[in-house]
Amino acid sequence: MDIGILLLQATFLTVLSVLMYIIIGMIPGTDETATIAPITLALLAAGFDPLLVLAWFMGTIVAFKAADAVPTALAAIPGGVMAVPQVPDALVARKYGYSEIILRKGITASVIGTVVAIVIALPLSFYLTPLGDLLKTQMGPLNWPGWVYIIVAGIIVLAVMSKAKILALLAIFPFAMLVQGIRAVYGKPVFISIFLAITIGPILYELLTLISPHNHHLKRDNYARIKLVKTGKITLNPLHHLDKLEVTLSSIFAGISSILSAFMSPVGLTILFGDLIKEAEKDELKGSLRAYAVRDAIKNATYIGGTLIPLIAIGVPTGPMSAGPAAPFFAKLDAFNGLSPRDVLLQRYSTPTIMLVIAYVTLLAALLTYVILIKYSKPLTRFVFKKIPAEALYSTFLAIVLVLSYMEAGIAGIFGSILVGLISATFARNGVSIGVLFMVLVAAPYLVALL
Amino acid sequence: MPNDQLYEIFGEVIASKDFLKAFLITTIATFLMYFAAPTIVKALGKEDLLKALRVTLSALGAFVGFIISSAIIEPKRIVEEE
Repeated sequence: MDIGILLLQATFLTVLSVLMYIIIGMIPGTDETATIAPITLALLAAGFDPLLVLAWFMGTIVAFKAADAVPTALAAIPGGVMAVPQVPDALVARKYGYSEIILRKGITASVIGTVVAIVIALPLSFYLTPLGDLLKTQMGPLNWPGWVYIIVAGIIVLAVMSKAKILALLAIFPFAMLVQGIRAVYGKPVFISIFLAITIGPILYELLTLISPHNHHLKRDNYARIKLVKTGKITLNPLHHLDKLEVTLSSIFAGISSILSAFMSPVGLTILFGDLIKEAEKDELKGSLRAYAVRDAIKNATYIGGTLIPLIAIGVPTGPMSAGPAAPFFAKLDAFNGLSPRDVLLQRYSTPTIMLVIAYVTLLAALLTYVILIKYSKPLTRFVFKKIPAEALYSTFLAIVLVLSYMEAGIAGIFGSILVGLISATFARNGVSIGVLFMVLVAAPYLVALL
Repeated sequence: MPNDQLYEIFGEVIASKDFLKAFLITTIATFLMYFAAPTIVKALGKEDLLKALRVTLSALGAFVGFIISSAIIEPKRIVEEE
């Protein structure tokens, strides 16, 4: 394909995904995987060019991660799971009347995180490609391919970092058996519907609770009250928003996180490094402003690094990001004659083309997101809160999951998804990191073979 | 205040009836497009692309369902500005 046409299409898709995911990112309670993976998967299963879908995906994660902290700053309501650690800092800022300042800092830092991650993770992922081949050869005492050891190590690390460590460790084998058992019932090694069921699990669980007679604790008498703080006009000059130390810390931690996220949890890294920075500063306000900004930089960097390094270098999803939102790129799809979009991507395009397109779309997405959020964060937040009902959003993702489950395994696929969703939600609600479940899904055949 | 029962899910307040409405609208729109796909693909003369277009059309159905239910359902949030 002509590179000009390719860039033109990528531009169109990136702009579209940025506009869409700024809105979705701001809606409270939206889980990243549940809102990103089904649409990415639908595009890939429809046979769209993997490079163009990747362009769409990069736009999505850049916009989503920058936007989900906006309602946090303006109303102390997190736009998503990743923004939850930022709520306490936003409350400190509000106490001192610094909400608008923290908003600007967050948006600017997320651009820094994006740029640093592209500069570090993108070249690194191509440089590490030989490692990918090595990881595919069988080795070690269990005669597993190398990557399986990495995934199993990742599962254990994530399990130990979960809120419920012992439960997380206990979940590994039963969940692997559930996955393999369902595959045996279907008579084929499905991936998509089980994967989507895990992502939609927590929402499904809550919605099913509504039918149960024991739902009193969820009942409310009133609408949710949301207080938006006052903001003025904000300058576009990014240098006005962060001080030198914040720029330095954001860059350093974004760089480190972009690499670590190939194997480690983005949420974990955001909490860990953000808390470190906060505790190093005695002044409450300064510490909160700094931690808020750095967390925003880390969020974008972990999403980008956690996608690109496994996607390009390793070829298997080795971390929670690649086994979560980016998992559709690793699934074997009929649309690509049983190959994964990842393999097609690397076969179809040269390294310079891939690097050019990814760098271009990511930076374009960062620029667009920055300008839109800096200029319109307040009216956008107001629009989202006043116009987009949570009912419509949850229903849309449920419908996509149901139809893809049906396509993969018929009516049994739908029941299978409900089963997996409920069990994943039970683990997740009791403190097991959902990344553990995603990675067990990938390693399930190897784990069950051990038993 | 609505006579409909309200619930809190993921920090969002939703009404059970409105959720049921949105769920039916989007699911029906999605599956309608899924099952209509072979006919649409035939009309377009692109039968070889059935599998691909089937997913695209289903996603389109879900999106249309989202727009319709957003238009008819009121978000359960009261926004106050300082």
